[in-house]
Amino acid sequence: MTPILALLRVSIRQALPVRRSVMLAILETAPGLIYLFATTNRTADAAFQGAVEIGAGTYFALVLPGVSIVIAAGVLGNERRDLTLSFIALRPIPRVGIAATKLTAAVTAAFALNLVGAVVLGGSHAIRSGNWSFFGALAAGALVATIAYASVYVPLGFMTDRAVLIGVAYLLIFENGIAALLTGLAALSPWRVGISVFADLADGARLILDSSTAPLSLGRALVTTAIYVAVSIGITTRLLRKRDLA
Amino acid sequence: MSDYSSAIEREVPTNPSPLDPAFVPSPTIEVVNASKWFGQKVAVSNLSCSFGPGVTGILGPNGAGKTTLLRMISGLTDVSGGSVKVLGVNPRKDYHVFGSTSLVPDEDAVYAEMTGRRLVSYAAQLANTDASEAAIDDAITSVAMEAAAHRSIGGYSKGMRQRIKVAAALVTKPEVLILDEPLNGTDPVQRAHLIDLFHDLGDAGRTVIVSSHVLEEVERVSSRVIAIVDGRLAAAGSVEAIRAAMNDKPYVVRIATDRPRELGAALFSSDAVLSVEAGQGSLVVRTTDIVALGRLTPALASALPARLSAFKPEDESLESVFRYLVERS
Repeated sequence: MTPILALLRVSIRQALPVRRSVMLAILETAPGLIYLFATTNRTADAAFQGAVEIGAGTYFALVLPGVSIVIAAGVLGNERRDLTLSFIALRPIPRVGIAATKLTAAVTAAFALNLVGAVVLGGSHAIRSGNWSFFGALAAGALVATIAYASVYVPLGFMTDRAVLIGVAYLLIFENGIAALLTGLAALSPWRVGISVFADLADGARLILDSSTAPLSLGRALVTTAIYVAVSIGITTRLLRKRDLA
Repeated sequence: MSDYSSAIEREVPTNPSPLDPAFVPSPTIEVVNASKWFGQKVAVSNLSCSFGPGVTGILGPNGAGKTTLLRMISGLTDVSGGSVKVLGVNPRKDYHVFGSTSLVPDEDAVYAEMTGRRLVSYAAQLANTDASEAAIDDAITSVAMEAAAHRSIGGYSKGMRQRIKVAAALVTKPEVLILDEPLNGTDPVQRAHLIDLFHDLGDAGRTVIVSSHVLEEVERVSSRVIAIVDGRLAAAGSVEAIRAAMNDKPYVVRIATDRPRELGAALFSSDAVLSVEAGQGSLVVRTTDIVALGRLTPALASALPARLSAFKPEDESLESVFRYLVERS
């Protein structure tokens, strides 16, 4: 097994401790359950509107960011705090390799949990409407949003012990407050990058979501995510090179 | 200026003398005017020394700067001033050197959920070295952890954690092995085993650095000692050499005799004797010249006459040397 694969495997396992994973997975079911309760006895059109506004809205704006932030902030941050970082840092692995692997681990672990939410919400809607493409669009949007959040919170978790607290404040104040009011900033919001992908892939969703909620086209969303990733790996690599690691 | 004083007051050791005990002829690690400060706190100040094959002990009280020095050498921490080179390169700039070095940190920095065996295997995989079952077995056997290797590290005692960390360091077959207080928490049998292991590694040509604040440990582990006090190099060399270099430090000698008062009075007339304390069947003499005292004592005993049954320096232990270094600095 190569050093990178060994690091990836252990990092994913560390990011998903059983008890926390179960708690977060339960949280992931909330949008789907809310959707089911909110759209009981609705018409097919109303159910779709509920799935997009209530289900996907809750999923992308609250649940997915919360789970992604918790997972990503700990991927390097926990190792710095518990002093095991030296175990991986003092190895003949390029710093950029460590940074990219840690980001990949964060995305994989967070997406595994976020997929639970997509399955529950997408499955609920499929049961009600018979349409499984909604799930595919959710999963694709979730993957992009997860990558964007992990890109921000892997380096932030390395920089500060309060990354999760900062993340929650950022989510509530900037993403669901300021960015909702100032549409020019909406494109910088990771969950809006994700829901933009979902809006382009789920037939009819873009008609329901306004431009402040899903401000980007699919192409722009992917480019924005790629920029997030590049900047994230660059910052983490620099931190690993320049910072005292213990 | 004495050799010892020159070690204490050294500022910028450009072109260090080959006789300077802080330096070795064929260094694998070179520390030149290295300093490290954290805000206002200076952890290491203008420290210069080198390390080569064999076991070197780093000695100092808690907070002396030992761990910071080891972190600078290992590449975990950058220097604030000066330089550190390991195998000819700056470990902060060239990650390839980590293929030839291993650090055993003092902290309980281990993955508690892993088994000991998994930790050793993970270390080998990360270092891209032989991670075969045989290689893992060898490393685990070398620290006598076979029985507990399949248990989770979270359930290990402090001593077992130390040993499994040593195994994880050894599995990569490092040319340079840096151990920060590796004997902490080990029982006497484990300690003896690890000390033998360090000696074997040193004899095999590896550069082994072992830090400790327990003086007796360093004395047993190391053929060469670097003493650090308040982040500065206080002394370097063998325990005996450091002791001999401190020619301004009074030696304390206990002389067992049947006429302590009379022999004490006779010795006190010598310029080499600073003080004499007579007790029951023995006297304690403080002297600046132990060689002169060694010649004078039998002669005076014969003249009295008095019977001599022992002539024993009281403070040859590393502890007494270290106490003196701390007081001096």
